[in-house]
This record gives sequence, structure tokens and C-alpha cells, in this order.
Amino acid sequence: MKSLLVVFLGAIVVLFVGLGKKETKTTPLALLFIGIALALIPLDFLGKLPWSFEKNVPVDMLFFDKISLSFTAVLLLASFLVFGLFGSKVQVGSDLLGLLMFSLSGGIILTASSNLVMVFIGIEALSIPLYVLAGSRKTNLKGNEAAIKYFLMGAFSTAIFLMGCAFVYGSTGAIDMETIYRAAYTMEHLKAVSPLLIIGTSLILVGLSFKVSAFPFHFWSPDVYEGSPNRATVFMATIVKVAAFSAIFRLFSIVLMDLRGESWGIVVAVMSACTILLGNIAALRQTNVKRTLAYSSIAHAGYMLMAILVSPEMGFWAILLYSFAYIAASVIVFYYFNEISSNRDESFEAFNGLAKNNKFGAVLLALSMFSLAGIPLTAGFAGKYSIFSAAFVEYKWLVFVALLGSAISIAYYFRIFKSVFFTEGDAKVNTTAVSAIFLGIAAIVILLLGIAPSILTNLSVFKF
Amino acid sequence: MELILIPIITGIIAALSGKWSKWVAIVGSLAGLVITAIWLSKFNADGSFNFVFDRVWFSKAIHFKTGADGISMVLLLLTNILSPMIVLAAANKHNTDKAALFGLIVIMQGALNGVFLSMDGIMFYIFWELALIPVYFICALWGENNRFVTTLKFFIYTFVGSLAMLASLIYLYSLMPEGSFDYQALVNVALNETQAKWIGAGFLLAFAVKIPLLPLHSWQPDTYTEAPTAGTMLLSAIMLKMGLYGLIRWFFPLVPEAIGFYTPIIIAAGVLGVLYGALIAIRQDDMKRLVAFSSLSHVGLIAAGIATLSTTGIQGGILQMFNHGINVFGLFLAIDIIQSRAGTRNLQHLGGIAKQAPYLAVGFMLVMLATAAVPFTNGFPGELLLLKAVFTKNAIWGVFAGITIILCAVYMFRMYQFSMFGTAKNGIYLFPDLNMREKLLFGVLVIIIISAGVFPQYLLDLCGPSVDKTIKIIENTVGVIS
Repeated sequence: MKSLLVVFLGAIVVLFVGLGKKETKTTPLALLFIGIALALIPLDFLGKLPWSFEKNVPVDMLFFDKISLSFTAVLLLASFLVFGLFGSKVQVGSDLLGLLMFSLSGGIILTASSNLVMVFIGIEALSIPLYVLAGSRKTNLKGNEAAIKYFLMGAFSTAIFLMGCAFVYGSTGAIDMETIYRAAYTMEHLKAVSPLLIIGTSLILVGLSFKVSAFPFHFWSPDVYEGSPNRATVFMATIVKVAAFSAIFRLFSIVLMDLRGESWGIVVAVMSACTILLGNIAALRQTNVKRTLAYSSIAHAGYMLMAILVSPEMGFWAILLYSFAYIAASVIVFYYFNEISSNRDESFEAFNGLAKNNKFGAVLLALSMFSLAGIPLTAGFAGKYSIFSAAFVEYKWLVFVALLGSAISIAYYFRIFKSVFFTEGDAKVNTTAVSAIFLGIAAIVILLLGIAPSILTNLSVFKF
Repeated sequence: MELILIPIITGIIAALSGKWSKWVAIVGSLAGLVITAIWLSKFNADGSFNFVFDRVWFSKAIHFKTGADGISMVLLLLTNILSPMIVLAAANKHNTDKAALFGLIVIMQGALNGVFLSMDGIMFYIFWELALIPVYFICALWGENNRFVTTLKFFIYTFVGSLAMLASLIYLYSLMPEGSFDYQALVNVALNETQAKWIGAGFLLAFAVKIPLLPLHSWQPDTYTEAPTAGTMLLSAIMLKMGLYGLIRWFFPLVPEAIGFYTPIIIAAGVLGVLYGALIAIRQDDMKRLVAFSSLSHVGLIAAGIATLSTTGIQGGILQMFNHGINVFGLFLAIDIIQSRAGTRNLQHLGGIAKQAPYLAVGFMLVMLATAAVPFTNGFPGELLLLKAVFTKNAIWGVFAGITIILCAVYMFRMYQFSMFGTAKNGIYLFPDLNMREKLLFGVLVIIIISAGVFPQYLLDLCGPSVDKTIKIIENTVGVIS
């Protein structure tokens, strides 16, 4: 709760500090607020918090349990890195920074909502600033295309989501998750699951799948990622995705967990398999690095969907670990992409010879590629391992598909490798000391969670 | 523990220390050798695991657990003898500014030690993958023209194999009520035949790609040819043995229920590899490619011998793993020396080197004889045991495998004759003989080749009790193996 308030307050302050001025440097101010919010998380953890829907704990519309706090920590860490790396060099208008912070507070609301109305508000607060940001390069044609696409798709998906909420309300008579949870439990035990509830759940799943760009609702994301300014793209790829997954996790893994075998389990499993295969195979054929990264992020959404399919105890820890790994690696890759493509083009060739001119950058890129591909001793492996081993019990075939996907992904991650390490060229990135610190933080997250992922489990022993 | 960490840490330091890097790397890799020597002196060869180190790592199920029995000791000895020699062999004038190369070799040494010491399934997987990364960079950074395509092929082949192994490990884990990846726990899981076949398939894919067994060998000749010499040495002398070691330590004890299905396949693939590799090697003019195919032929025989699951077969396999590592290192060293001086390694363009470089001629000759398994060299006892085991198991396969000795003599002598004797072609008039560094390397090689050829019993005694124990584990499940 405190973190949400700090971020919200920060958004307003940042917005008004720069009001009326053409160019202001409000990045440090924004970083300060996010830093405070991040620092407040451990304080909250020290207090006696419920895990999730425990007995005799009153549930408000916003429900800050340990699950939501953990996801909030991921979101804040991601935005801390994004603001640090994508704000300092170019003068960023304070209105854009303010919008990003509003979007972040939407994400935090999403992690903590225990009521379908709050989920809706969270999605809207998360997305509306991004519709603006996607089109913030007003004269860029691709930017305009991206903004329109993103807005239309977003509007449709939230409409479908609302429709789903209506169906759920119709079948259970409630919009707060605790009541829905008990209603679903009762229906499952009486073997009388209302078809309305199943339709409603499916529609909600469709609405949220748009946000995480899971198959078959992924098609907007390569175009939007390509057209949006890099700052907005990295925000969509990391923060929006993790926030939407926290909502999916709470809604499906916890609230509707009793219905998994009956209704949505197989649907999500098939979606996940298709997302993994499609993302990885389509990424192979791209010539534009940004589109490759977009398809790779689709594939990662597929892996994360697998974690929804397992028991919440295992799924929570797996998805949390995976989110940390994914955001840290993505931020590093997008940073170097941003720096290189601002001087050159967006092709793979633009990376040629980076290893000669910038060893630090080459090593960091290698580390994050390894993490994204799931090579051991990086956080990506720890995340993939925990997801795969949890899903193996019930969905063996899905794990085989996911392993196949990981094998395919090597081919396109290593294309970036080839450019960076093995091709002559003159790609150059001048990393400032400040950026180096932020990159270092991300690299430490990757290595630390890769070598000793148990620190995360020990921090949060999860039980129901 | 120290055998893993010290090389990895010194490797990282070496990669960062500029022109001092080769000295740091030599110190780091020699430290590994010293620790191995100390372990050998304290080693208790009764088939149990010595030097066990156990800490909780990822979660309660995944431990950082290391330990060495006789089988691991032989391979640790191989890794830690060869790594300093590979660093030394790479320390020629062409590589003076390649600080990262020496670092990567020593990191590789640590990762390989990790593979041979692991007593936890996931830890084994992690080091298995980790060993791939340094050698990938060595090959892709300093290899020859076509290097990116071949190294990518190599990486994808082995990565797919490893992922299959990971799937098998997770499958085994999911069959336990109290999940654990501990070696003993994995061995104890009782499987039905279908499960054993599936799990075995995953492991076998990973190991067969690394060994490599026919028909999964197609990455090997290209990668050996395109890789820089240090990379080829690491791959052929040590890394192949990961796959063979995996068969003995993990594959057979973990899925004994499926051996009836898999042993004939492995023996057949091994013996076919023996013939295939040898026949192709006879026709090669590129010396590196020739040795690559000969290596395919030799490891095929080792794999077939191990799959007989007899004491002679497995012991001979372990002995031959050690000796093949030493010999193939010697061959690639000689090829590297010839190539760097004559500017080519094509047999059609070489000749007459023996006159100008007698030391090289003697050293190369001895290594070649050892590879062709001449008595009193190290190649002989291992090959003899392996052939005996395969012959006892199946006489026809045994006869086919026996042809290897003849064919091996043919291609080895052909290589030697074309390169060292005859008249100098292509203007090789000035061929300086070995310098001190190279003399030292060949000297050590000669000592190992002769002493392991005359006294093979030391290595056999070292691994004997562990081999018996491994066979007992398998027989506990499936009854006595005929």
C-alpha cells in the first residue's frame, strides 16, 4: 500500500515539476520516488502479512498480501532499471515520465486487486498512459501505426474482459475474488459448474492474454513493439507483462484453482505450447532485432503461462523467479539495442564488432542472452527449471514442447552473439558510469538468482 | 569443491590479466593437478565415494554434492594432467595476445572437474552445460573461416541432447515420493520398462551426441577441423569422455531396467562407428580431419566395450578413455606444430619433415604407435580388454571391431609416412625442430605413454572396485548379466 501511494504521489510531483517547461531533467526525481517505494517493500514484508485469502483476514478491494508485494517488488525493480537506463541520456519530457509512473501504479493495483473491478481499473491505469506513449513520436509513421493498433487491441481486450466479469457475476453473484473462490469451490464439489462461469472465465482469459501477448492474441505485439519508442517498448515487454501475469496468477491459479481440471487447464496448456512454438519459430526468420526481441518475449510469455498450470505453491515461486530473470535480461538487451540503434539501424549487422570496442557491454549481453536462453548458472535457467519441473507432473507433453522451444531459441539468440563477438565491425556504445551501475544491478540479479536461487525461496516460504 | 572452484576463479582472473594471462592460467591449471595428486595419495580405492562435500543448493531437492570414486579419479587425473599441457601447447607465438583463450581453457578445466565429481543430477546437468560454454567461445572466436556455422551446429546438437537429459532427470524426480536429485536416490528409483526406456532415451541422446555415436556424429569432424588447436584438444581429449563417463556413471545405473533394449543398440552403433570412422579416415588428406575420424572410430570401440557391461569391458573402456585422451592430444599437438611451421596440414603438400626435425619425428612416431595400439604403448592394454569384452559378448561384432587395429595402422602409418618421409613438396625447406616448450610437452607425453603401456595395472586397480560396484548396482535390478 505504501509503495503504491509513493509511486502515485511521485507521478503527480514529476508531472507538475516539469509543467510548462520544454525540457526538464526529472529522471532523478522519478528514480528517487521509485527507490523509496522499492525500499518500503522489505519493511512491509517484516510485518505480519497474510499469504493469500487466509481465514479471518478481512479482504478489501485492494489486498496487499505477500504475493502482491513480491510482484510489486519485481515491477518496481524493473521500472527502477528502465528509468535509470532509458531516461538519463536523452532529455525526457516530464509528462512522459509522469505517464510511465501512472502506468506503474496501475501495475501495482493489478498485483494487489482482489476484486474484478479493481483488476479492470488496474488494467486501464496500466494501459492508457502506454497508448499515449506508443504514439509519442508524433511524426513517425510506424509510431502512429503502433499507437492505433495498441489502442484498438487494448480497448477490445478490456471490453472482452468486462464481458467476462459480467458472466462471472451472473453465475456467482459476486465480483470480489474471495466469494468467487468459494463459489467455484462449491460448484466443483457439487459437480455442478455453471456454464456461465466457464464462459466468463474464458472471456477473462482472452482479455488478459492480449496483455501478455499469448497465442492466439499475440499478433499486435511485434508491430507495436517495433513502432513504439524503445522506452515504451521495454516498459511493455517487462512491466506490463509481469503485472498482467500477476493478475492471471491470482485469478486462475488461486481463485479458480478448483476449476483447472474441469475447464481452463487444457486451454491454457495448449495456448502455452502454441505461444512457445510460435514465438520461437517466428523469431528465427526476423531481420530486425526489435521484432526478434518481440517474438522472443512472446515465447517467454508462453513459458510463464506454464507456471499458471501448477499448484500455486510451486507456481508462485517459479513465476516470480522467472519474472526476475526475464526483466533483468530484457532490460540489458533493450538498453544495448537502444544505444546501438540510435546511431545505426535496427538490423543484426548493427551489433557487429561490439566485443572489440566495448568488452563490458559484450559480456553483459552474453550473460543476458544466456539467461534468456536458459543456460545454467544464470537466473533464466533457475526460472525455467522451476517451471518445467513443476509442470512435469501433469503436463509432460507441454514440458517437451517447452524444451524444444528452448532449443530453437538458441539459434536466434546466437545470431546476436555472432554479430557481437565473431563479426568485424565498428558498433560502439559509450556507457556512462550511471548506466553502468544500473546495468551492473541487472547483471547481479541474473548471476545471484542463477547461482543461488534459494535466497528467493528462503525469503518467502510460501504456504496456504 | 576446490577442484571446481580454483580453476574457475583463476580462469576468470587469467582472462582479465592481459599479457600475464598464460602464466596465471598455468598456475591455476597446475594447482588442479597438485590437488588431484594429493587426492590420489589419500584415495581409498574400495568402490566408495571419497572426499564427499554436501551442501543444500537450489532447494532441499538439489544439493551441491561432490565426491570421487575410482572411475571419477581416472578422469580427474586425465583432465588435470591435460589441462596444463593444453595451456602450454597453446602458449605459442600466435596466441600471445589472446588473454581470454587461456582463461577459458582453465574455466573449462573447472567445469569438467565438476562434471566428473557431481553426485547430484541437476548439478551434473549444470556442469555438463557449463563445460560447453568455454569451448564454444574458444571455437567460435579463434576457429577457421567457416567457424560460426560449425560451432552453432555443434552447440545446437549438444544443447538439444542436454535438454533431453534434463527432461529425463525431471521425469525421474517426479517418480519419487520425496523428490531429490541425489545420485543414490536416483539410482534407487524403481521403474517399469516403458518408463526406463523413455528416461534412458533422454540420457542416451545427451551422451551419444557427446561421444559421438553414429548417427549423431555429424557435428564432430567439422567442429574438430574448424576449431583452433586448443579447442580441438579440449573437445577430443577430455570432452568426449564426458559422454562415456555419463554412460558408466549415470545411464546404466539409473535405467538398468532398459539395458536389454539399449545395450545392443549401443554396441551396434559403436562398432559401426569403428568401421565407418576408420574407413573414412583412410581417405582423408586433411590431417585434423583424419584424426577426427580416427577418434570417432576409437570412441566407438570404447562405447561398445562399456555396453557389454562386463568388468573387462568397463575397465578397458576407462583405461582407454585415459589413453585415448593422452594420445589424441599428442596427435593434435604434432599436427599443430606441423601446420604452424609448414603452413599447411594437407598430406598431399607435406613431406620430408623427419630429416629436418628428428625430435618431432620421434615424438610423433611414438604417439602414432600408441594410437595404433602397438604393445608396450598405452593404447595396447585398453584396446585388448575392449576387444576381448566385445568378442565375448558377440563374436561377430567382435570380429568387426577387431578390424579397427588393422585399419588404424593403415591410416596412422599413411599419415606419418606422407607427412614425415619422402621429399619435401610445396617448398618446405626450413623446418625448425622442437623448441624447449614443445620438447617438454613431448617428453611428458612419452613418459605417460610408456609407463601406462607397461604398467596399466595401476589405473585398473584404481577404478576396479568402483566398476565392480557399478555392475553390482545394475545386477541388483536385472539379475546377473551374461
